[in-house]
Amino acid sequence: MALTEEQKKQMLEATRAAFEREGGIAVIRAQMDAFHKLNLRVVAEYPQLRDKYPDQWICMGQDGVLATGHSQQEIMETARRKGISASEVVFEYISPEDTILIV
Amino acid sequence: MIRGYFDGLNRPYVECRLDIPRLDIRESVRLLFDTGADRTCLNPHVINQIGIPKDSLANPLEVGGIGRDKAIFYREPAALTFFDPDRDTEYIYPIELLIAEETTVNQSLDSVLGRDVFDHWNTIYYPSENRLDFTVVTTDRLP
Repeated sequence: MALTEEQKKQMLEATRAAFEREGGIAVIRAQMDAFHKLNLRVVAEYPQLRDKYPDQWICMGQDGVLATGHSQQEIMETARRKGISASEVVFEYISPEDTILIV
Repeated sequence: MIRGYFDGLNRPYVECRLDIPRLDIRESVRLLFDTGADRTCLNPHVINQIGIPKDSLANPLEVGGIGRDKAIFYREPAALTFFDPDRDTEYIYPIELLIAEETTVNQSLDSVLGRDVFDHWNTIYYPSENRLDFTVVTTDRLP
């Protein structure tokens, strides 16, 4: 079921208000740019990451791999203990081999 | 245009900002571009990462998957925002987001951008040239 027109309007207004509270659209764009760069870095370095951290979760930040773990819960706990803000990193599972995925 | 990218296995991804006001969630997320998905959905990998409180989810919906498998998703009003650097603008899509109930088989699945959003776009899908470009045709963006 889709949202009603009224719900859509409320959602748009709430989203715009959130952007303003966070410092404006330029701030949101900068966050998105940083997020994009981290994801591209994981893609570019995936072969090396696979060699070093097969079957592990990594926490990738601007300075590289900041933490590793054997589950998503473990890596997020480790990051939290290290004072790493989850919104400034990406967490990624490093598959030991190429897997076929059908969704 | 909005730009996506392909990973090392040529899987197509696009990123956006996700707002779920009721749950106070405002995060960047990566979504798999999936022409087979009727709806946009979050799977546990992203749900756990952005801290969606599972006990706050409601409004369940049974959704069909491949074969006869059924899965439970919770419906939640949300907004996805995409940025177009060429036009220096953003596009906001208010949608009813589907949030998956965690199971033994969906924990590592990507979250998915479905046709409820990208049916508004003209898409260039060209992995061999590393091009995944979206031109917005329609949007619910406020003027």
